[in-house]
Amino acid sequence: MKIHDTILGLIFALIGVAVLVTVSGYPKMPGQDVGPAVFPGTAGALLTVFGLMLFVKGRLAPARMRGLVEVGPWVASPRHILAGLATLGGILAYTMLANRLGFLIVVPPLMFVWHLTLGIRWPTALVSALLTTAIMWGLFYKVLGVPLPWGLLTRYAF
Amino acid sequence: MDAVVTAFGMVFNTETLLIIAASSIYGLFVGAVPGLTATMALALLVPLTFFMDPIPALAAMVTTSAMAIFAGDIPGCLLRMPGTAASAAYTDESFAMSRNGHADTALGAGLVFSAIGGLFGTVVLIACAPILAEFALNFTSFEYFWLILLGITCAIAISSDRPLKGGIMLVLGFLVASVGLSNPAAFPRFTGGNTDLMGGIGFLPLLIGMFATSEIIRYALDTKARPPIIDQPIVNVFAGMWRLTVKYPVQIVRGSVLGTVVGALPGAGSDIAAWMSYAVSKKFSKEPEKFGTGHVEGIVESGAANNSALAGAWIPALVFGIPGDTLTAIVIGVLYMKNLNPGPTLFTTNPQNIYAIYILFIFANLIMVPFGWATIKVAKRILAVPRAILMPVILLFCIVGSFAMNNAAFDIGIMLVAGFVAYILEENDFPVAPAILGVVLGPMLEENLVKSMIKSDGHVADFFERPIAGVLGVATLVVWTWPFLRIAIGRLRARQPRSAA
Repeated sequence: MKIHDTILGLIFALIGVAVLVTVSGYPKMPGQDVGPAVFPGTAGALLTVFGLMLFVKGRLAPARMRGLVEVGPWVASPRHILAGLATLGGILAYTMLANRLGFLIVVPPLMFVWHLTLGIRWPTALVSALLTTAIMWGLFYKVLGVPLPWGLLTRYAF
Repeated sequence: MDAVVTAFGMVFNTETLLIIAASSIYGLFVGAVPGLTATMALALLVPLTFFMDPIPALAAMVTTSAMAIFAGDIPGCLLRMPGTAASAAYTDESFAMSRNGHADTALGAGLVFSAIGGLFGTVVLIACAPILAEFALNFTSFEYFWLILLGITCAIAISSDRPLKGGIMLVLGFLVASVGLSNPAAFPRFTGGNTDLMGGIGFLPLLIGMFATSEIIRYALDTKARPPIIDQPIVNVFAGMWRLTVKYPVQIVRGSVLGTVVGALPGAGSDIAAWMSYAVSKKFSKEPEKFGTGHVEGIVESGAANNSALAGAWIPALVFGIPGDTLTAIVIGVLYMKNLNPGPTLFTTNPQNIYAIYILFIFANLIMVPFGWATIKVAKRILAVPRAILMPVILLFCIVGSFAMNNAAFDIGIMLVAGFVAYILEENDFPVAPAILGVVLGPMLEENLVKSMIKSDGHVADFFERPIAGVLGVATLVVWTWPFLRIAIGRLRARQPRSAA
């Protein structure tokens, strides 16, 4: 997804200003010239300047894009749109559901969907989803001792 | 001498050797699959190194990066798709060689001269690092302040043709590093009252997001069909290598030297070393017209350069804690995690660790030859592994890996945001490397700034008073004002002939 430099420049300049406003409220350290505001404040000021420079550069540069935002060829392919959504949505779903339902309940369907949206046929997807879940769980939970959540299965934890 | 013996013991034990073997295979595989980069290989390794002792962890990182950078040549040669960015410079050349029926020579040259370049870089590392470290023992916060500033300035000036976008990424890195309580004043910054943000934005989820998740998003949205593998029998990759060594000794040395130097400069790593070396090779070649048609000379030189850059990048990383490239930026994060804080004291207090790193580098570059040979033998099978199956597996690894260090779901959220933002910015030609440099160096820069300001009581002149600090400071200012200086010099020159006449 291409976004015109003028828009990105403005966004960065605004972030820079927001940083400057935020750090303006930070306290001074007694007896020192440099408080917690100096470093992020300088960074914020630089970001504002750089953002504005990018904006101006974008305005002056010959137009290479048709609009201000240009989406890639994936926009014409439902499978690719689904794959993109599944990737981002899947991670989000994991963060929301894993604690409640448990790793072993959330991951296999997630993996299955990811495989399908990337064009793998369902029998292969199913086998790979179950196998990877088992291996990843074994490696991180059993070998490395990472407390992957049990969720609904807490009663059966082993 | 005792330290050297201890170091050998630290490397040559069953655990470390097993880890080296496993990371060799891992690095070669990841490097060989297009779309999986060397940086990704290293980022995904970090959650595992968290559970290892320091030396095995370093062994895994050194071996993985060396192997991945070499293996990037394989798909470049057989598919015309570079496996890692460091191979992109000569992908067209090596593909042209395979089309002419010389795939074995192209791959063999990549392998043999990668190993030679890597060993050369290691020798320079061994020779220079201790001297620099002794020198650096006298450094105060003033010197470090300027050194970091000079380093990041060079990184942006050299490493990208888009310095403005690089600058924005660097500053974003600084801001990300500013979040939380860990600043000299221990004041909670940019937390918005969120307790998860008090500890700052985790380095690990950030890395995984920027270097792995972003690649998966890119793959998911990639509509281009993959080119077919070139069908060439690969008979003997080592045939003719001695002849090439005798024919191109200057190129090998030149590539290795340039690679080591570029690697040692902060921010510029293997990929830039390879591009520069390829250009240099063409410029000084006796047969520049053959470049691009399947001529091995450029591959010899830039193949040596990209692997020597790997070792070169460790020089500033170990001596000053300033990463020479993205890979060492990750390594520095791991060193801090392992309480092996980089800096000159690492050389005096724990020399056996430094010797172990040297041994690891030499060993990794030596075993690269047999391991690489085996990988080339099975290359076609590796390239046939469907990426549509690999990507979900890697994505799951990203999730679990981000979670593993703090056992916090919040870190997975950071990974998601970092991945998405990195994807969008990379699509718009923003280089990612400066951002990670900003994250690693931001806290160092701030700490040294605050220390210096307190010591100097706010007098700017003190920043230039010590000789080395003065030189570094002036150099930094010259680099900053260089574009303006050049215009001024140009005007002066233009005026000169008239006044002479």
